[in-house]
Parts: sequence; structure tokens; C-alpha cells
Amino acid sequence: MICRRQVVDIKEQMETFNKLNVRLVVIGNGTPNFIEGFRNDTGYTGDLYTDPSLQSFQLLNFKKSITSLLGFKTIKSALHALSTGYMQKGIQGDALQQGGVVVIDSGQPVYFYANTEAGDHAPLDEIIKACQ
Amino acid sequence: MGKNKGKQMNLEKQLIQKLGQLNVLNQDNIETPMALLWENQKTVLIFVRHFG
Repeated sequence: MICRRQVVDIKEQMETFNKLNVRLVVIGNGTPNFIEGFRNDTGYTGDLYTDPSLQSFQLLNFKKSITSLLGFKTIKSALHALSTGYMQKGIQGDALQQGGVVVIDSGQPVYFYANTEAGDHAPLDEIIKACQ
Repeated sequence: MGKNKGKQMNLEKQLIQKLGQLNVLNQDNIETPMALLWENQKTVLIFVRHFG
């Protein structure tokens, strides 16, 4: 539910990213057959890929641990996701694997954020600022 | 590099080059080299935990 809520939040800023001529790419880590359902649930129509090997997540040193699922932000975000109608439908990917955001401009990283726990996401305003 | 509340790391260009050599899959199970994702324009990569 938390992951879908994040993508919905980003989708709502799609026009802003389009105006900035920025490409948005969402990368999950479940199997490819879950991509269509994820699109249907979130309404996200942009680029959507998956890396079930987790190689990209590992290269970027994104956190992977059980404790990352048990923090305060996780509970707070779960409540927010639930209150806005995003019930978790089951795990399609590695539940212990955290994600993050990388903004790349001309092959150079200009912004990086590694989520510390489930429900911790890069603030949208920071992402947009990095794209300007 | 932006100010981060999460775990911050100074990413090197070399790391992005390595990332570009990895592949991701689309919904038809077709591999795409990641470098193609950002070759033409500024790109935001959002890595999500899972599709749940």
C-alpha cells in the first residue's frame, strides 16, 4: 500500500515533470507479471520496469533488513495509505528491500535518496527541485 | 546533491555508468539496459520496494 501511495503521489505531479522535460521511471523488484496490476491500481501510465535480480538496488546500496519495516514512519505511512484507500494486496517483490530515488542528468547523479524504512520516501519537492 | 533525510550517499558518475550496464524488465519480460532510460533527457528513477 505504501509503495502504491508513493507512485500515486508522484503521478499527480506528472504535469510538473513533463513541463521540466524530465522522464519518470518507476522500477520495482517483483516479477514482470505484476506490472499490469500495479498500473491498474495506481493509474500510473509512465515508464515502469522491474529488477527481480535486485542488482540495481544492491549497487545503489539500498537498505535491506527486517528492522526497516518496523519504524514509526512505516506505521504513519501505512495509516495514511489506508486512509486514502490503498490497502496492501500482498507482496509482489522483496518485502525487506527498501528503495529510493536517483535523479540523473547527462549521465551524472544530481540527487540521491535512499529510503530508511517502509514509508520513508524522498520528499517530492526535493525531487522537483533537483529537476529544475 | 540534494539535502536528504534518508540515508545520503555521494554517488559517483562511475556508479551510474555501472548501473547503466544492468538490465531491467518490462511487463513482457523484455530486458532493457538501464543506460537507455536516461540517455536522452534528465530522468528520475524511483525504486519502489515491491508492487504491493
